[in-house]
Amino acid sequence: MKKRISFFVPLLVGLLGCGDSQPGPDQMQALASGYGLYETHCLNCHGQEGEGLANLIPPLKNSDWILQHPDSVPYIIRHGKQGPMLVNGKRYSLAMPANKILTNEELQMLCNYIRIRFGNAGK
Amino acid sequence: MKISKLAGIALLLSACSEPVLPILGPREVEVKQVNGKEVVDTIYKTIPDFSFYNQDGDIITKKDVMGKIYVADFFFVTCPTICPRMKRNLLKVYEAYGNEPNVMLLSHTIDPDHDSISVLKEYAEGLGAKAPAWHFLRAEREYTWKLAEEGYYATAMADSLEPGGFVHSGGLILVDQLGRVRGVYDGTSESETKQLINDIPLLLHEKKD
Repeated sequence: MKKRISFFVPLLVGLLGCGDSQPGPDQMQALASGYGLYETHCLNCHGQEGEGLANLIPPLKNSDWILQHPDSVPYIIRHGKQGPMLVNGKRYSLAMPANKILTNEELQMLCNYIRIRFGNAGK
Repeated sequence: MKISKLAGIALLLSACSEPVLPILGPREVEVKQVNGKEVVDTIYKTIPDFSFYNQDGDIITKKDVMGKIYVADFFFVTCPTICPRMKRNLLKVYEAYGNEPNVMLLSHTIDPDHDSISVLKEYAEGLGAKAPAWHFLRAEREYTWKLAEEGYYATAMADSLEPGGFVHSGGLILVDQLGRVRGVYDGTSESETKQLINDIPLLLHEKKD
């Protein structure tokens, strides 16, 4: 596991982009833990960069909805979402499927990943 | 001697500079008598006749695509796996050729029970796609699955073990003006989609023989 994390460190520094501050050890750990889960459960729809898909699938990157409803994110990941939602001024209505196989720990790791990786950590 | 060798290489290079896409699928050899001489002709398999409703409720048949180049794929709206990746890549094809009247996209739903015409309309609008450049097609599911397999060499069927309940191949199938399959590209791959976008002009410039 230690070896795996060290492999991810340079990748994750790159993923975080060129912000002023370098990620702390806790953030690095969260990104390393969440990367594989994001790839398996989220990437097909929400995209490599969390960009979403046109006006069908909302972005996760810099999402005002996530910033305003951080506590709803794990619920939506686990139970899916029906009906329209407004994200960054655009309306998205494609249903999101449930991910009931995720454990609580995995859910937590995914939420941390989405929060840190895609700029949804807030101020 | 050296010059003639160079000339030969130059000829070869010029011949290679205009690649021709292969014609995929089975073919039959037909032997005919023309002016008392035996002539061998190759008959290539073409897409069978079809009829679907599109997202606007219009009937689309093979007549609408003959003489045009089109890219076909099989998907379903609630697909949680490869479909969004395929659509993300198909959007790039649409952005490149959406205004080219001789290029079309045909996306066939393999789950018509869920994907009604109004669902397909909403999905198309969400992508920013409009007919006649991009049709989202619906017919009875067995009809679509059979066309996928027999016409486009693709897989489409129900499978309760698969996420979303269906299994299907992620190919973007390139069809020429005569209805012949000329390429199958992995619709989940950015590099293969780029190749598809680069290959379309090769067919646009082909003579309709």
